[in-house]
Amino acid sequence: MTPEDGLGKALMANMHESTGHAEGAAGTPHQGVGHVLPVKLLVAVFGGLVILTILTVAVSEMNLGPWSLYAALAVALVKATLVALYFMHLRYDKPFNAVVFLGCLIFATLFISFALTDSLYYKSTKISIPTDHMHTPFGDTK
Amino acid sequence: MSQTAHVEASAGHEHPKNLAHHFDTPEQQFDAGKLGVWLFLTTEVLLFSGLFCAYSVYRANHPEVFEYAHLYLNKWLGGINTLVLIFSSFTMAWAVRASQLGQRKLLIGLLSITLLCGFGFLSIKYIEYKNKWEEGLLWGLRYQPDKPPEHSVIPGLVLPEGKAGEGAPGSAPATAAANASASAPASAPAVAATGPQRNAEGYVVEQSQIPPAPVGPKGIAPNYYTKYKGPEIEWRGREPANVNVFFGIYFIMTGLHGLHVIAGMVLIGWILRRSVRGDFGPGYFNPVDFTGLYWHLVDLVWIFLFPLLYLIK
Repeated sequence: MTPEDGLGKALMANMHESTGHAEGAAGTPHQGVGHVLPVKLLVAVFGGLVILTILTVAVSEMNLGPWSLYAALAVALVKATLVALYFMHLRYDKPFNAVVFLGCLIFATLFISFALTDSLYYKSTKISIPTDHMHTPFGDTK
Repeated sequence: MSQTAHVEASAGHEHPKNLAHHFDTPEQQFDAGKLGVWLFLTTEVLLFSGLFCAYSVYRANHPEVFEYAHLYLNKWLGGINTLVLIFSSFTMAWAVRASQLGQRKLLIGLLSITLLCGFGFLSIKYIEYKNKWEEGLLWGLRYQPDKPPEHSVIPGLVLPEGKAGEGAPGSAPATAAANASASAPASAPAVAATGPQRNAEGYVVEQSQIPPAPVGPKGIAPNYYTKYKGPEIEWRGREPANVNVFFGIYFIMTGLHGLHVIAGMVLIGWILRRSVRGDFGPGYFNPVDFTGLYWHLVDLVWIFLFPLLYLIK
């Protein structure tokens, strides 16, 4: 609660100044609170996301077998990175926010991969119901 | 706070209107708020990761269910919804910029577009849910579709007139067991009428009073569909087992995501009202930025949900 320090004063002075000609300053990043993204960059990111969405639908039409899952996840990961870095300002933010978010993603990955590893370890012991040998009212299919 | 502001003003210092008294500078207030929102977003990610975990485990163990059941979903509606959400994220990010630069009219316009996109997303979702409801594509025992999905291949089945797979009834022990379980409830009253059943030595054979459950290892008993729905949906006996689980996962994941969209729209409506009032400018745009972060996270979740649910194989 001591706004006497130089940084705070300078910041506020800057703030009031930029309020005066905010419309005129459009397009040039000002030095207020936070980081202002240029419209061109936002449009570019949006275009990239649309192209990647079309790409992921196109890839799903192709017959890539088991690779289709990895392809779809890779495209989704690129899209998510674009959204996080630019729309969510993570690239220009305080690095600690990125550390918090990445840490969370690492734990989510650990959580899912451990559960998956465990489940697949016991996969051979599960009661499997063969899909090509079904019981029907008219007898079995095989 | 007003008292503090008054004191500051009387002391000859300028105190920004929106700076809470426990922060030194607007920047400190902004950074603290942003860190708080990011921490909240991590809890959201972990909430959804539980559902993604259920998805991963079930898909890894039963890929055939996902390859079959996703054909019931309309990938074009899902794709359009993806584009709607991405566009709304774009307008939201632009709205944050507009609020930072104090462009009030642009901010109001962009927030309105974002809100409209939210309504568009929910409308398309409503169409999808309504179709699923009408076609009996729901969770658990409510999964009772009348026809297999388009482009699906069910081995050994020719629709509609072919009765492929007709074999000698009762040839397999399982079929005999199924017949026995079906006839058991009918014979139970007869047993009760003739008194307790005795074996060869004359001892009373204890019998359970509970009739056999009409549920077999693969879910509903095989003859359920022909018994209650007619032989024309014989294909239900041949699709992968437990397709209903896919719809359980589909509805819980998209449903929770839909709730987040609604919450995001409420927040956008709130900052829209405040921006009409003229609350935001270069010195104070925190609520716009934080609502934007939340909205982008909702977009992020959908970016993964769309290929995982609609674009399998």
